[in-house]
Amino acid sequence: MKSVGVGRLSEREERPWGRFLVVFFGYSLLIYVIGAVFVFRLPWMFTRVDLMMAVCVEVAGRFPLWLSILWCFLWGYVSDVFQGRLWGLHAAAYLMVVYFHRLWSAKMDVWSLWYRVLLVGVGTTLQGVAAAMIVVGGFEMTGFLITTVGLALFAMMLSPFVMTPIPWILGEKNR
Amino acid sequence: MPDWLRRVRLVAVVVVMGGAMLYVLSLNFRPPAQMDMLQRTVVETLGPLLHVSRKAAQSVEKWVLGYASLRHVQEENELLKKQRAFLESELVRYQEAFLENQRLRRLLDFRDSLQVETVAAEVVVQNAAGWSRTIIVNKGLRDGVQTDMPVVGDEGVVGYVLDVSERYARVLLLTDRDSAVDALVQRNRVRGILGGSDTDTCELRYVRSNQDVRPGDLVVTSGKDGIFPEGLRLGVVKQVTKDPSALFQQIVVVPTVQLSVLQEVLILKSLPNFPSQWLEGTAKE
Repeated sequence: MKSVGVGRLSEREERPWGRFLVVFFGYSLLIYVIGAVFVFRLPWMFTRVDLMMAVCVEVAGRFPLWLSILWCFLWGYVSDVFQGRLWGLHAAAYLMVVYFHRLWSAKMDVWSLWYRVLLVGVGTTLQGVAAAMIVVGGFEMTGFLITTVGLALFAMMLSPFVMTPIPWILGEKNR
Repeated sequence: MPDWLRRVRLVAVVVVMGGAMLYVLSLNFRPPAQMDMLQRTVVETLGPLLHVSRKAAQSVEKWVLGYASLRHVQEENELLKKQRAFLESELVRYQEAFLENQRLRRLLDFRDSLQVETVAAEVVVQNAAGWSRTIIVNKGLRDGVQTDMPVVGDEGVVGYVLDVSERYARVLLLTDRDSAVDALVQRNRVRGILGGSDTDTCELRYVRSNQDVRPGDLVVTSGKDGIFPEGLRLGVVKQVTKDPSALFQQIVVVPTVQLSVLQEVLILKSLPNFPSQWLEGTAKE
């Protein structure tokens, strides 16, 4: 079965499972720790972005589908555990990103950085809107949504830095 | 892969995903209690790593803040240094202003005591170390200054106006060789002519050897020369030398005014009151 979303990797005869594991555990853990330790301590709300969203976009584009879903569950769950509330929010947002990637990749240049950055923005916005709906709801959402837009923009700004090492780890020649 | 196996796999994936999602979502509705095994596993596994990372981050943050603080202190130090330099210069300026104020006050008091119309002037150029002992002051004809007008300081006589321009006047100091002021010793009214010797001191000339003049005696103007009013301080006798063979004694007088550090003076606007026979003689010439 050829997966649509894993274009380049699917063209290879052998998948680099070892490298997948490095990204799946090692790099993801590194980004998670950076996010948890550094980014979430930033003073402004709109700067506390979920760096894992950028990893998720890369994973969605480069991993086999089932591995992408597994990644979403695992790291979404880990994020939820350390957050302690809004259970399922991270995993759901990551899954949505994977879904959107599968949906759009047939029509869009999935290897374009702009596309991937846009996907990070969409994922972050979805996550923020969902959180806003659960936490405040109704008309009080305005402020929350403004923050979400800020978060999405900031996440889009940071995402290239998070995403760039992944093709390098996976050993892709044309990154 | 057989078709049925593919379907089974798909169903299995959906079931597993659905189950996982349900489990995660169900956590939203659980009352606060101990973490379940899965959560504990995640927390216990990643907790130490996050803790260490956090400590490291705090150390880095502390270092960065320390560095930033140090830079701030450095900048503050530079600023304070600049402020200190500025304040020191201000202090010097204020001290100067204070001293000037003191001098001017004394001059003002002195002017009031003179009961003569005066013009205050500042010394523009001091030529005390040159061939002649003169100064230039910033008042001239515009201010009513004329030649031969007496120039005084709060401590005594400075000299008299030698030349005048529109805005400036040259003053011949007491210490100039060409200067001559009719003077007398205040203590016993012994009279003489005080003239300069091109040094920082003057000489009281034409005092007979049998006259009693002592070091420390105050020499004042006699008022007989037609230029200086009577009783202005000229100087203090520093040294008296009597030569039995000479007709006059040598008397060294130190001017009461410190001419080398003069800054402000008063020009007395009293016209010379020369004896009429002098003027007649001048007219005849």
